[in-house]
Amino acid sequence: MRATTLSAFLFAFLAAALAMLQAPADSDMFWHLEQGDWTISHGMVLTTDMWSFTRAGATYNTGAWLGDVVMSTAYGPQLVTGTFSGTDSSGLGWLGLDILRAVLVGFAAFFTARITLRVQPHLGWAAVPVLGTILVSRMVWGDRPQLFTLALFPLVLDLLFAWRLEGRTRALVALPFVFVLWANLHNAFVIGLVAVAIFAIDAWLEGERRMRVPALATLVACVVATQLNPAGGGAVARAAAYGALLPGWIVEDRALDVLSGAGLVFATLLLAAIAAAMLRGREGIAARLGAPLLWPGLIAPFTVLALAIQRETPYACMVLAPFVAAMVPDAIGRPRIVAPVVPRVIGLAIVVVLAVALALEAALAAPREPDLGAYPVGAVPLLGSLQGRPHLLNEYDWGGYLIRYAPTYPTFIDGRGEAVFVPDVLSEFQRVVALAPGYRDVLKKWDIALVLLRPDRPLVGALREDGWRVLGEDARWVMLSRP
Amino acid sequence: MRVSPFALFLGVVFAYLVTLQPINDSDLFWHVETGRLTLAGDLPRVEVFSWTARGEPVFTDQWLGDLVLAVARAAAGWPGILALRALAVFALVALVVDAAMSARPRAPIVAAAAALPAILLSRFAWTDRPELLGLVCFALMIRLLRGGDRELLLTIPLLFVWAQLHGSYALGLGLILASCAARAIEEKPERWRFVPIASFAVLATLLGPSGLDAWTSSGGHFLAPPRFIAEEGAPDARTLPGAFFLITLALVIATASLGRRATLRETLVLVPVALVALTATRHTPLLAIAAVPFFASRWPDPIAGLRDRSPAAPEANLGRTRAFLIALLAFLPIAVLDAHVDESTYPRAALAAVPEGAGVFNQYDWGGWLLYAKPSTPVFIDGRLFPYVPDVLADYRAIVGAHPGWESVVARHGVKAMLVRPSDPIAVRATERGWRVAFRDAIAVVLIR
Repeated sequence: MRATTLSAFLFAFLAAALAMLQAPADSDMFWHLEQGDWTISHGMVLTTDMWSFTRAGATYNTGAWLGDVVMSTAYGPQLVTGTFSGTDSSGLGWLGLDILRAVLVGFAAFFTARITLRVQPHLGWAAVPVLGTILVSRMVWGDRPQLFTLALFPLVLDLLFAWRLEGRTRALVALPFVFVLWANLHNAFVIGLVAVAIFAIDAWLEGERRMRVPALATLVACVVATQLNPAGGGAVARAAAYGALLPGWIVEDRALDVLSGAGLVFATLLLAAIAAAMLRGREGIAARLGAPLLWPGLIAPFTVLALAIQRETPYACMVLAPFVAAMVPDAIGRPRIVAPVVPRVIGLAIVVVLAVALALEAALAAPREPDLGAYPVGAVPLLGSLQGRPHLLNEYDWGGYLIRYAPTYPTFIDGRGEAVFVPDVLSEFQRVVALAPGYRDVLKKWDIALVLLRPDRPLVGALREDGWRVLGEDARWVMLSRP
Repeated sequence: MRVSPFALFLGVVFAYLVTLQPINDSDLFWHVETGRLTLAGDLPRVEVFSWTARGEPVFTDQWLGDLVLAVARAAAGWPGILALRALAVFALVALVVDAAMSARPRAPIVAAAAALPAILLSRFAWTDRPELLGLVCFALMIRLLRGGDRELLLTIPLLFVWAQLHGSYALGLGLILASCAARAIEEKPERWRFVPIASFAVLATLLGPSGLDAWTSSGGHFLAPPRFIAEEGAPDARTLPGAFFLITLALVIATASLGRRATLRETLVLVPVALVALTATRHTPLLAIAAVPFFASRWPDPIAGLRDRSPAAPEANLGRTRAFLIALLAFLPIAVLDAHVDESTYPRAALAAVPEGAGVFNQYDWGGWLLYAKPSTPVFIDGRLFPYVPDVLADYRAIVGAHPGWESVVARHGVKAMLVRPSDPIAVRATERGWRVAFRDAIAVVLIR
């Protein structure tokens, strides 16, 4: 076994171990689980809204039906009966999600490390950008189908690099199958298609002649493969529309702040890449890495993507990591090394030990309960005690939680955001909580009789002053009812 | 340093074009007022314009920039301000294009293309503030740092002037130090000579009314930009400046990867500038300006073959050409004659309903304009930011957003009137809580307790 492969396993297990310790807490996780449960129970994809009263009956598609099903299966699917105990599970429960997350994060780290170690076998030089990428990827470790994109993007990159840099054409054969899966797991498969297109263009512009037809055929096959999902061609159109509209009302879709933790790591990698590229120039890059057109062809668009939409930053780091690992030492005159070979038995033994350690961690330390610190836990019993089902105005971030834990109360809005509530309901939500002109019209239009919001919302202060009754509150939430 | 006629020509063109842009930057007014006090011999070291932070210490790191604006206003009114802007843009564009021409003397098309990102991005900073003067200094600094020892020495007096004009001088200091380091590594003989140059550069930034405090202002602003202000936000692809910046960054990546090797000096200038540019929208023009000679020296010339085959042009009298182009600026007064403040976004019509004296709560964006339009009414807050952080700013946001408890904040400050936008939450809520509407139009609403 090559030492680089063993090193990749090391990074994978390290990342998986880190990911395993994170308690499930993502606000969208809850409705993804509900969607998965419903799909399994009914044997068909859920395409009609049944959880809000503002868009009840509207058709929608989040582009992640298979991701929902996998999540639900990992948790242990619940029969959709309209009630939920929170801990009752026919499977592993929250531990199942911890394991799924660890596997996918480990998968991502493995292939990111493999790509990097392919061009920089020296573990010391590879470690910094790979570890940086793993740290940045924490921003997308939320328990949602986007974990599948985190795992599959570096896999696609690895297959493409294996073909382009090592001439392994067979690696391309797997790509269409990966995209069939990806297009049903999560809607962000489009970034994978972009990567394939960049490699194809590079092959035509500067690759050997024999590379061109396989490159083009692979691109076409991958595009066709992505049509094999319930939305058909609509999936690509929806992803393209999302990219074009660049919704800025969700924090994770906003521009990247390079003075934040993840932003600083990304900026460091980017600036190191620019510095190394400047000092070595085209000739130096060609001599060290080959394919001098490919690297800027990958780095430039993914850098722009990361700066435009911060949740795409991990993928830009995955592209930067191998370049930085190889070119920075090259720019300062460090010699290139050849990866040593580790006896297969020893390599396998190490991998087995790591796997056992991970299993022990899962058994002993992985969280068995979600972290509900950000949610209005105390409000759920209150809701259950109320007579009737008045229309509830809830925080956007709590909608998924309420879908799972208070399913008898349809939400005003939830994390299915641009699939269901954009533009009208979202703008009404923003208007009413911020006391924008016309906010009373929104309350009247939807006959809002109950409000569950953060205490610092301007609307909360106004309703208190107007005599709305406080049914319950704590530091995180307050529930008010109309007098 | 001789500036190319082509650069002067483009500088003159943009100087005249920029006079078409109205005068309406809200921060201009407090810059002028501060400069006016300085001109009268009373450099403000404490806050004097607001009723909420009166007496609090203020930074004086832009004193010369404020003074220049005040002198322009005093000498020639609003035409003076517009003429100053035009001259600054002339200098900026000429320097940027000349940097490109000097890197690629026989390829004006390439030079123009290389300068285009800088012109397009800096366009958003062509406003009437010391920041524009800072950009001119930056462009000149970039030009000088590409030269030899003589040019490096000239960066010190430039840095001294820059440090009095605008807080962006800190980047200039960083670039001088980086250039000295790069040259000390590359030029082994007598590398000691860069030590005094670097030392004098540091000293140059401390010789001002602010002293060491000047570093506090620049450093604090860089490390913790107030993100709620649009220009201090991260470069956003949804905006035109953000989109231009990302394209420029992509061009830097492509040029670095596909061009010939850069020197250590080039690298240590461009990379720190890229870092600064990434941090906030207002810094994005810096990368484009710094990248101009880098682009110009490496981009392919589409008509190189054609030019090589065409007969050589007769020698032109460059001195007369330069003089003629500069002389065109003498006609600038015609372009600025009818300069006036564009008040279409300001609440001029509402002023009659605004009471005089302390106690008026105003929209942040109108604070500077109010200093000019109604000096008898001190402001609650304005664009200077630093006298107001953190407490007054927090109170402002609590009131304008009608956050829970806003009425107690109003009572604590003794607010007796509000001048806000009709779309501000406080405009909606205050009327529901009994505040009387003394004036309302599409731009502003005046509420009286």
